[in-house]
Amino acid sequence: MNESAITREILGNIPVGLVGAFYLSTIAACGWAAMVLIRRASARHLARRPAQPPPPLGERLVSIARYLVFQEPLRRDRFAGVAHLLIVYGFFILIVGTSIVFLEHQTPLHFFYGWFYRIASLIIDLGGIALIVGLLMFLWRRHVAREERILQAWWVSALAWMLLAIAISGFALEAARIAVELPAFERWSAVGYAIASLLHAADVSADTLQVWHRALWGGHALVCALFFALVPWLFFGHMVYGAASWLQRRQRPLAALRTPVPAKLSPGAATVRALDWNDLLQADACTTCGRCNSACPAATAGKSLRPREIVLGIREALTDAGVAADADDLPGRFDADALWSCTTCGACNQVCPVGIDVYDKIVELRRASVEAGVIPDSAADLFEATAAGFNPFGKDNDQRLDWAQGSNPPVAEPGEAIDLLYWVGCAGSFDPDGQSISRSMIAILDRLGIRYRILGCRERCTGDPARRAGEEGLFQQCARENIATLAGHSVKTVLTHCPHCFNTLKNEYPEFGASFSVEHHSQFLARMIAEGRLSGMEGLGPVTYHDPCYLGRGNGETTAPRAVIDAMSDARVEMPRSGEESFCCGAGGGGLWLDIAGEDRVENIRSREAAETGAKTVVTGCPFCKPMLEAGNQSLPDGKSTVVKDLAELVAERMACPDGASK
Amino acid sequence: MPGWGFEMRRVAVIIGSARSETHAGTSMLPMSDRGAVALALARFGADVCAYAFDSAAGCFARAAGVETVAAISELKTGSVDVALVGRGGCGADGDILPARLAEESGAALVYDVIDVHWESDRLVVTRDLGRGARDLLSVRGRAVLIVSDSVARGPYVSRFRINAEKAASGESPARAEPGGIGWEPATPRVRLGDHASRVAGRAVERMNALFGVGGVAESAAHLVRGSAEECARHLLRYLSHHGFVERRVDGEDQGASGKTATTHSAEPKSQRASVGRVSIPLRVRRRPRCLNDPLLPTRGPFEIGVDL
Repeated sequence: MNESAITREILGNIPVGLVGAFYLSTIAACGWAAMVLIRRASARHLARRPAQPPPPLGERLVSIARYLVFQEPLRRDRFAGVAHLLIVYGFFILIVGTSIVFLEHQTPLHFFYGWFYRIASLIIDLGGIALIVGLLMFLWRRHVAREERILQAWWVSALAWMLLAIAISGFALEAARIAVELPAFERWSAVGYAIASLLHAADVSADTLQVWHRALWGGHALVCALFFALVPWLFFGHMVYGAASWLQRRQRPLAALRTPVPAKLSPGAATVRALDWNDLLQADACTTCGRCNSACPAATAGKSLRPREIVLGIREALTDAGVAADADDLPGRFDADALWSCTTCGACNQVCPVGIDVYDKIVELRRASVEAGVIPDSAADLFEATAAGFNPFGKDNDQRLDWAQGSNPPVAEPGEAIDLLYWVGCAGSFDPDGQSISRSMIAILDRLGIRYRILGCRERCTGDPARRAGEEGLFQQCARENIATLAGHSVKTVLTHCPHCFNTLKNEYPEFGASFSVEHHSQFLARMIAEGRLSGMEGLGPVTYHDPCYLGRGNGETTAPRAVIDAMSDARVEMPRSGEESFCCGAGGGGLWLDIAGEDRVENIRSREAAETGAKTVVTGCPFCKPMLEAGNQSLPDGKSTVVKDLAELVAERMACPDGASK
Repeated sequence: MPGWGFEMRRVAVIIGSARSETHAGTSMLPMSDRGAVALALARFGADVCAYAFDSAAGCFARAAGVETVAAISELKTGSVDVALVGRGGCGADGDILPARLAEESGAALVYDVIDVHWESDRLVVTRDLGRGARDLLSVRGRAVLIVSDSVARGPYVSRFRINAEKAASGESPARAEPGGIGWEPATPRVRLGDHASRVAGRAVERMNALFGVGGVAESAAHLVRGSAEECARHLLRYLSHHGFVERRVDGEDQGASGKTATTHSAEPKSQRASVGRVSIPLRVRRRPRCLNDPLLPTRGPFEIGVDL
């Protein structure tokens, strides 16, 4: 058979009027969609310009290409990830296939014949199958499995059924076309040929097939045009907005908050216009999948916070802002308890498949509440204590050295240049649990003969709790004063045992002019072990490690703490949620001071997880996590209680008593 | 307090003659406001009965431990020239404790006090008139400050707003001042080591602890018996320990322990008051209020009270 004959007539059997109607309706639908997209973009651009520029375009294109091909953020939920991958790949193949047909038909190009035709037909059919299977999986989760996190909205289902109708009608009209003559080369259109063979076997007449084909084509074209019109709307919008927001996404450690550009007196998001373009683009990109809700520790503990509802509330406010100028008020849309329940652990940001920075928006809303003066008393206490005493514990800053208890750590003289500064932090200075960590660190540093200095009473809170709780002005004041102190000592490296201080000093202070390297004590201890300067600590029994959010998820450091533990114990067991997917202790975001009621407590949930591993010792690397987990211990039944230790405490113990059991 | 359940949140103090059942009035005080209870008991002696809220019965019942309440206080109040009543110091239940105190002592009553600090030999009291308006009162005389831990707080004023207001008025941006501490210091919601049981952190409890009344850990061992000067030194150490006053510059407070070393911060002499031969750098600060309404005036200072 002549290779050039292996093709098909495009738009054969379709009246010119119907073709014209299709083109007109498609152009109208695309025009409508473009108009909606532009209007939405205009509404977003009434908001603030993002303070930080996005990464270079090349990096962003690589990032989006990698995302579209591999879809890594979706693969945490394997079933949903596979379903989405099938839908995306199938949809993409069908769009490309349709474009090929369009080019063959409407341009002088002639390539849609022979082997190209056969292979293209096969791939397009496979794409159609992938789309249908993916959509069926999607609908099964929605209507049969009814997973809790899924937003049960009729319009999401309707859009899925519409896509399914497009795919099935495509196969049906292909079958109707093939069945008229049933040429052998159409076997490459596997699905269409199989259905056509059935029609042929049923002895359906050619005239009937042509009528069916024409009707199916008309229906298919109509639904496709409708699809184009609905692209910017609701659930479908994530195809455009999701990709765009991913392109604009700022590359940064997850725990690093951005610095807002205050407009006059209002650094927070009192209205949608006080957010920036990217915030609103991200709100439009939300797929309503609910991964953030299921990952949120506050939601898990039965508190009123639902991160998805925060994002959808912002989206709704943007829509309302287009209707009435004064309808874009934000804080009034949300339950205050919900806003103050957030522990800023970043789990919502991490699991979001379209990269929405959810907790950043919650902090923006908190900032607006702070500016309005409507905050919980415990938050006001926290701010006032930090402002008055430079620490959130309400202590006199002159007591900062009380933890040392005669160990005489070297306090830097004014103006003395410091190569290694041990940043004790407020918890390490004032909280008895933290003080124990500080003393352990001093013992380790002295034992290793490391030359270091501490700032003593000139150290002040980094401002982390205040910033996460929305008091940006207080944070910036703390930051500037601390940076001035550190600059006065020409500090080269800061060592700290507090992940919150670590994150703030490392990721947020540079925006205010800081230029020093920062090391968490787990990294320092792992380095000492790797260099052979710390050894002979084996013999520790079974332990489990709780990853602090601001170290693991927030800054990607999950290996160093484990290297330190492995140098002491060969029986490390992991909790179900560990590493970068760890579960919060409840202390972040001011949570150590704020106590919003829920059905359960975050720290209790985490303590139960730790106890279920069977390990009697829970190790962590954060002076905030330690008291929280100890508090959670109180909820455990008798005999299930665990001992909570910091890495430094364990190392100091093993150094002092390497052969004995953990003290 | 022995015999009083934790769930009992408020105490009713009946001021009057319990024996004759003729009560002059009722003061509804927070359970934790043991200082006020003790003060009332000390002031009115046997004419006071204490009632505790019985959550099971849903009503107030005479507290069996009233003698215990009386025993915790050895406070002997002298006459008072001015009764300063902070927000919440007079509750919605019709507290008459401040009024009774004022009446008994012939003292002036000042309500809505939001800030008190020493300037030289006088107490500067800021009284809130609402909507940002203030009265500044210069008080010289014996004063009693009545506060409550159930006070309804006003709106928080952010650093951005404070700085903006200061910038608008030509002042330099706010800087945190070292050494001070607010009335209600932040309290972590989980137990932090053993501190939580020793220093609860609420203003009223700290004040009670300061005067050796109430509190779980307080006992006779807390009492200092000695000369007036020695007692004053101990009091100063105690005040500075709890953040009510700045640490001393000179070494006078070392005499109490003999070896106590503290880190000092310089304090302007204008902020010192004098009790006997002991210099007291006393400053009590409260949170800023209503700074977003700068158009309303601050009046004063008005002189009230009598010279010591």
